[in-house]
Amino acid sequence: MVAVLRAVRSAAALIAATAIVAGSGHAAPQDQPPLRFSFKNVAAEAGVDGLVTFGGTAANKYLVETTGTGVAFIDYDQDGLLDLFVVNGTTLEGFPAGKAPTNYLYRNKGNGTFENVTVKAGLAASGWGQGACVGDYDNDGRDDLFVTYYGRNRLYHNAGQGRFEDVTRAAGLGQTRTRWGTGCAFFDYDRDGRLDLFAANYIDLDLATAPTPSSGLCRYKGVPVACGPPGLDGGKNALFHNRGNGTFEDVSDKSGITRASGTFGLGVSTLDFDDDGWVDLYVANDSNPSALYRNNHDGTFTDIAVTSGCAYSQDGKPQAGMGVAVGDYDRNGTMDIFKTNFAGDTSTLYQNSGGGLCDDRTFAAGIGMNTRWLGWGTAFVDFDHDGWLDLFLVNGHVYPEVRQLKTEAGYEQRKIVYHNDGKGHFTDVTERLGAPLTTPKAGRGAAFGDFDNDGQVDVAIANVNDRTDLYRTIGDPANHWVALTLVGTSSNRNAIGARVHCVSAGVQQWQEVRGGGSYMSQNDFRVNFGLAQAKKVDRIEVRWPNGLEESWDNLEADRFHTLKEGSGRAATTPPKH
Amino acid sequence: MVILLATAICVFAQSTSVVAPGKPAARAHYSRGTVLEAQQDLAAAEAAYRAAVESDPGMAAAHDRLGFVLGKLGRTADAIAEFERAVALQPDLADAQYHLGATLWWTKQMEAARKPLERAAALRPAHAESRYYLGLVKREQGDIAGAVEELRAAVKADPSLAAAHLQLGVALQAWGDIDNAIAALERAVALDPSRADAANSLGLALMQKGDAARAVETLRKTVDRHPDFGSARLNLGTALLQAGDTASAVDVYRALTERETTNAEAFYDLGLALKQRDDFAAAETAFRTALRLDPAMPEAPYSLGVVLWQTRRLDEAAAMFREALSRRPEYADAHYMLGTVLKQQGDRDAALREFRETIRINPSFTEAYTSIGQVLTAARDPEAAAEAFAEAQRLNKRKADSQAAVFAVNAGRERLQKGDVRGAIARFRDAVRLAPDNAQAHYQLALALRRTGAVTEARAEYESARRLAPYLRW
Repeated sequence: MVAVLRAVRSAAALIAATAIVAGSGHAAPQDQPPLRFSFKNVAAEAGVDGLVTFGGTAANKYLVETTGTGVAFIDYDQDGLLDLFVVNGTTLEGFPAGKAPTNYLYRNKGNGTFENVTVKAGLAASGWGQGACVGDYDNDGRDDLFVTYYGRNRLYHNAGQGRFEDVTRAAGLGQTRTRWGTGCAFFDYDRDGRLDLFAANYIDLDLATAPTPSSGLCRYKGVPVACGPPGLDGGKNALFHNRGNGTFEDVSDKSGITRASGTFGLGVSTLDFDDDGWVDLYVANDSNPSALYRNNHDGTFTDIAVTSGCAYSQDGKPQAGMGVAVGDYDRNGTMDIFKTNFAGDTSTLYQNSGGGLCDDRTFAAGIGMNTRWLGWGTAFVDFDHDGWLDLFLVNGHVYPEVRQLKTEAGYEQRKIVYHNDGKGHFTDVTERLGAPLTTPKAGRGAAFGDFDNDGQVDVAIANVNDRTDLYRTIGDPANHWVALTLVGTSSNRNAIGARVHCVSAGVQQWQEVRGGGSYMSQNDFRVNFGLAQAKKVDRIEVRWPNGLEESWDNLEADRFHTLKEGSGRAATTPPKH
Repeated sequence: MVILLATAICVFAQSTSVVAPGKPAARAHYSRGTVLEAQQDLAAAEAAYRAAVESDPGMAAAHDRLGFVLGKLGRTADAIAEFERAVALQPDLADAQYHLGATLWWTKQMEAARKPLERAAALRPAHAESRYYLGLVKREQGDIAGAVEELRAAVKADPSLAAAHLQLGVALQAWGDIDNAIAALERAVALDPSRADAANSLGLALMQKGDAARAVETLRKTVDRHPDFGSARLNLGTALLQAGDTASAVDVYRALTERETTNAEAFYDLGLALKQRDDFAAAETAFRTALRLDPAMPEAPYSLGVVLWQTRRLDEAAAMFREALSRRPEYADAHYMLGTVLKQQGDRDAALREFRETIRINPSFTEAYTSIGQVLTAARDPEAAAEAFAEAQRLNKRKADSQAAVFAVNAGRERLQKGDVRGAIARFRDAVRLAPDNAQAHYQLALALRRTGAVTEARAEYESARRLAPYLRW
């Protein structure tokens, strides 16, 4: 008897196998326009040199060792310079007392360097840190910080003078049991001017009972790996209503947040999907349909991801959603969604059709050319300021055990940068950009923000068991830009949920001020528009979170402007070169 | 019988001499026949045995030996006739029953083979070869449980019978008992490393278990030892893909397509491997070659269709999916992908037809329900869409529960190892609740209950387990 096992021929296997060799879809070099931007990793010289410790380096026993951490840009000392908060983790073996790794807070000194002020700031906490989000929840003018954990989340109130206080219990956010918090976002869902708080939860994981690789039940390409999430109990997302007195009320069930089609939540971003002035939420779920919580205006949410077509792949399959980017990449006035997924799968680009539906444009937009990489942190950013949002993805495999395999992508992986050609199509320009993007790292969270106030959005990346990266974006001054800081007065001070419409030389663009984003990270609240050759902004229209609509005319390009709710005038600040 | 396939033991490779009763002259001819047979003078032996049966037509043993020699001479039909005469004269002549049954098996007369083999096994339960052939017959007739029983008896009777270990392994594999299949196949390979089919089957079983590394190692050795064994090369490629070594898989498939230029399956598998290496254009070429070489293979047009779909050539993709369906009308995946293309092209009605056909063929095709829901939502039929989404959710939950059940069984076994029988029972009950069709859940629960003395309930759980996985033993 001679038996032959036919290779798996399901669509899943084939779709997982689809890709075009990076670069094979490119035109010959002489046909390609030059790239107007590049990146330089300045982490070492900037002093952002802390090691992110996260689980075993060669093998992981539990999935909690694989998720890595997020990063947050936060101007904690209100000096106009973005500081950087990097979440840190630990190991199963633990550390001797006093030796456990802690989160990092780096104060931006304004000269291209940062100072580690973690201890001074009262943020030297340890544990299985996951993500971070920023918001001035008490509207006192100082941005506060929420850090999620596998364990117990923490709320840090910014007390001023460079110090934070852990007010978790006092704020009513204490937990009676271990939970696995992941992506989070501050946002004002009921438009009362106060930031509420959403925290995704990944798995209801009990290390005492969870299966381990030695059980042989969980394998990746034949190698035993950490188990989950399929087979494990999913976590329930949480929503906390800000009472306005420094405390929060758990409204998770009441609000309908816990009634979602899927579970295993990771990346979170706010967005106004249906452009009705009430902020919604998108949650990337791992191995489950993603969630799109539509704000019902009455304190409740409905998960419409499945019915709106924003939950699955183009052929109806749940994907391993990790990171989320929101942006209007096609400039039609609606907020589109981009999600990073697992190796052997594509990322997903959902074009917001405007009718309450997502149209999956993954292959049509050229995104389907890459399946080798495993994606995490991501954002839509106009790196070359040509007026079209590009995409940045951080990659790295989940399992360090893949180093044993002869797979192409490996554990440490390169980034991907997709350049938007303005015709609904993206081109992978990573190889053309070269290092540091092509330097393989086990990347996870990424925060996007202009830390040096040169008008270019930079990128901070947390790597597993490695040092943080800080990419300074170098742009072409031939293209112009404008950056806006929105300050709410009756709306929440951060203006999270504000929608900004920019009109310049006949070109219209839309953006939002968002909570959360990327993978368990927090981006700069400032809104950055690329203006291409236009030297000024004809008009900016803002719809504030509380509904007020205002406009400003004739703003100078290549400047930072502060737009205060109700003022109708912009405060102009020249950029730092 | 001329060709003796490597997978079975040779009926005529051994001879069991019996000094049979009969008339003196017949006995003398018979004895002379056995001497000549031992000297390999088959023609003379035939003559001697014929003389014996002429002297004594009722000498069953002589008919049996005559049949044996005729079989060795390749005169199978005559051999069968003599065996039949022998068993008609002396039904308890075990050798004759065995020879008859085995020869009928070789000539693919399964129904006829069963009775004489059963008789032979009953007469001589420890005769390994009788049990072996009876096992093969039962397997051919779909009686896997019976086949396993017979083959187990064969290896017990003769642990050195490599062919029996091999067939036992294959039967256990078909049954789903992968671990024991691997053990049996390993034994077959150890006993006779020259058996390419045993090593090949072992490689397959290891792949089924998910042990890609060992599968690769096993199949590599097989290919090195038997370079012309194309199936092993194909399986090696698959094992390499399973292990994530796509580069080596491509090398293996390329080498095979160069040796066997009309091997459609090799080109097809090459296409799959190239696709995984992101060599889209080459994958497409390989699929097209497979398509051309084998007009009956539905997978080649299907896979080519997926490539075309992903490179935004929707019309061509649809054509390929239709081609796949013309080759295999009940190809659920092809209906689904055709529906997906039609949905993207805006042809909702046609898309719905394809999705519904997908579900008719495979009622558990979750994505089809999701896609139906999406089409109906776009068509502004929210109620019908909600029904479809609900069914998708139910199926997804079933999958999730099934996975959770596997973990629960594992957790229960760990508790048992720690002596926590109650805790183990609780986990096994969880597993049964989550996935009533999980054989191991019922089985482990049965074993745990038996330890507590709850024999009646244990028995009931065991019967549930056996219905799902007949190879499980109390």
